Formats: sequence, C-alpha cells, structure tokens
Amino acid sequence: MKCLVAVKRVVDYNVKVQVKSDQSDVDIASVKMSMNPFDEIAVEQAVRLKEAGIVTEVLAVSCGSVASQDVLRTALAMGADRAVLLQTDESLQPLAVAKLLKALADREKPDLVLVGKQAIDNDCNQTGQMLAALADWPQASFASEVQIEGGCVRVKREVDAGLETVELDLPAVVTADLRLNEPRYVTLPNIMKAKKKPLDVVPAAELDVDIRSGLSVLRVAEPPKRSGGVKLPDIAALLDKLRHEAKVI
Amino acid sequence: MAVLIVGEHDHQGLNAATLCAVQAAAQVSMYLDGGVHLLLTGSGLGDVAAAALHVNGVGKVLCIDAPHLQYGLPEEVAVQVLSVASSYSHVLFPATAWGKGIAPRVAARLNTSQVSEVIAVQDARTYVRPSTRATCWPPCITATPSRCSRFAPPASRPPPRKVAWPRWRRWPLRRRWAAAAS
Repeated sequence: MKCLVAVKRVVDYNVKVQVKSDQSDVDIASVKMSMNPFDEIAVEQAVRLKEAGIVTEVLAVSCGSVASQDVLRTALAMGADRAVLLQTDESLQPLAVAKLLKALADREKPDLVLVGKQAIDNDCNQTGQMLAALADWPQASFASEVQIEGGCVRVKREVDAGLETVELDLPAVVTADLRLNEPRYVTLPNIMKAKKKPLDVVPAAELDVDIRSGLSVLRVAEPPKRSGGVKLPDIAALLDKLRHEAKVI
Repeated sequence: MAVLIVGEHDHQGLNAATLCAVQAAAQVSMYLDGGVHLLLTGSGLGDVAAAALHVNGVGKVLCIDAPHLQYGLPEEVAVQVLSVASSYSHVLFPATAWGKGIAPRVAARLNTSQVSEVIAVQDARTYVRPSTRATCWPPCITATPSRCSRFAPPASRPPPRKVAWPRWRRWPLRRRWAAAAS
C-alpha cells in the first residue's frame, strides 16, 4: 500500500510574524521556516503505518519554490521513502495545491493520502477536502485516530460535539488533527540518511494544471488593539454600559 | 442572484453558527438582488424546516430529505449542494467541523476559491478573515476574486466570545534537529 503525504513549508510556529509596513503581506523575509505542524503529524502517522507493516511506501510531496526542499528532507528524515517537489514560484491557493496533488495522485496511484488539517500560515483548512472532491474519494477531516483494516480505513474524527467514527473505502483522504500522534524527534543519523534518499523536482507546469487563483489579498492589517479595562462605580453604571455600549442586554 | 446558506442542524433546530451565516448572508445580499435562501439536508426535516422559516432574513427554505443524508456526511451533502448551487452567486457555510468538511468539496467542484472563516463582509466580493495564528495574532486579510464570477463559499463563524489559545502554542518546545541541519 502506498501512502502519499503532503507537506507545506510555513513560518515556524514559534516565530511572531509582523505585517509589512506597506500592509501588502506578512513579513517573512528573514524568519525561520519549518514544516507545518499538522503536516508533521501526518508524516508521523504515515511512518507509523509503515512501521506497522500496513503501508509499504511513504511518498512526501510539497508544492512551492525550491526552498520547500528543506521540509521534504525533514519528512525523509522522519521516515518517508521518497519525496517529490512540485516546483513553482507562484503563490499557491489551496485549490491550486489540490489540483497539483490530484495530478500527482493520478500518476502515483496512492491508496491513502494524509495531509495536515490546515496550514498555520493561512489557516484555510481546505486542501485535503478539495483533493478528495477532485479525485472523487471519501474524506475524513480532523482525524485523531486512524486504523486500516482490509480495504477500509477507520478514522476517529474530532467534531464540534465530540468524536465521530467513520469508515472509508480506500483510496481516501485523511487530514490530521493535533491529537493523532506526537511527531518524533528527527535524529542526526536519520538526517544524514535522508540526504541520500531520492527527491525529485517536477516543474508544476509539466502537470498541465491551471494554478491561477481567483483570490487576491488586498491588504493585511494588524488586528485592532484591545483597549484597557475600566473600573465602574456601581451596578447601575455596569447595566448602562451593557445596554448602550456592548448592547448585549 | 440569491445567496445560498447550507444550514447545519441536529434535526430539531438550527445551530448558532448557521444563524451567524444567515447574518453574513444578509450583509452579502445587500449588494445583490435575490434574497437569502437556506438549504437543509437530512432525514426527517419537518421540525427544522418549520423553525428555519421563522429565522429573520431567510426568504426561502429548500429541504432535501432522504434517509442517506441522516448523518450529514460531507460526500453526500456536497452532491446535494452542487445540485442547486448553479443558481446562486454565493454559497455560505457555517464555519464548524461540519461546514469545513463540505465547503471545500463544493468549491473544488465549482472550480472556485473558498474564503474560510470570514469575520466581516465589506461588499459582495470583499471579505475580512483572520489568518496566520488566527487568535493570538490575526492580521486581517481582505480577499477578492479577480476572475470568478461566481464566488463561493465564504464561511462565517460565530462572533468569538472567548479567545482560545491556539493549540499549537500549547506544544512543548522541541529541539528541531531537522530545521537546524537543513
């Protein structure tokens, strides 16, 4: 069984990002980049399935500029067998990524696709579901437990009301939530080994996919600053504020 | 054209997030002509449909009632949404786990971009959404389609009352050999 894992290179989760002074975007020129934490969980899950003898090959995929090779090397160091970079210098929206992954899935024919539930930079929460729709596969988003039995995958999902268990026919798309597992530390010997593993760079144009975006970001702004609290003299003043300022009663 | 909301319910009443989506749809429809329609899918929709008719701002309620829609699986519901989506300019979903599963499926099949977690509507094509560590440090992004005439589906989330600390912030700080070595 082949498992495809999509990973994204994002600003590291410890970095406090700043808006550029012209408000065109977030300033990421000289900040530390790393693998999206949710994608790290997806890679870990794929590697665990491989270690359990269920999956035979783990293929890590990323879309973006050549700089994304470093997160693919991280995925290889965590235990992926092979990596593919769909290279393009354009900025990609989730729909474009889903189309690229679909084109690659047609080529590679994976039985299971694991992706993180969302990226921590744009918080879109779309790619996995879009890929499932384009490929006409079933999906299980927000997975907190994944079991593969026969030709089915049983997934415990984190939904608003609690947990939901769904069973999907393979091939399927599963998006990883935070409680699925805790990713392993990448050891130095594994990093050295990962340098020898195959990493193909495929120009995205070769896949013949329309990656133009229907969205444009007009402005990026800081959120409004929270104003300080005030001490009120009595209940009447509080009621007055609740009625006329907050308008909640 | 009208605006379509895909309603989430527990077969008894609509949930709060759907009501927020109705408010957002009312704001979007101010720039259009056609009103707001609400789509309900499920099995045994009598009570919800009756309740939905009384929601302020909803002009028409569409019900698709079938046994296989009982659990609201995204694969099934998306097909139903797509069957009516062509007559609407916007399709809105509540930004809940349920809505987040369906909206991208619909958007992908319509070959259109999706705007997630909209917190404000500026006009029919311009929205404000938090991004990049949403709750602890949200720059507001305004997005507009440059190409799609049918622009769908923004999700509206209920107004945040309590700011949750993002979950990835609760992670223990880990040494990252991989990042250091590459």
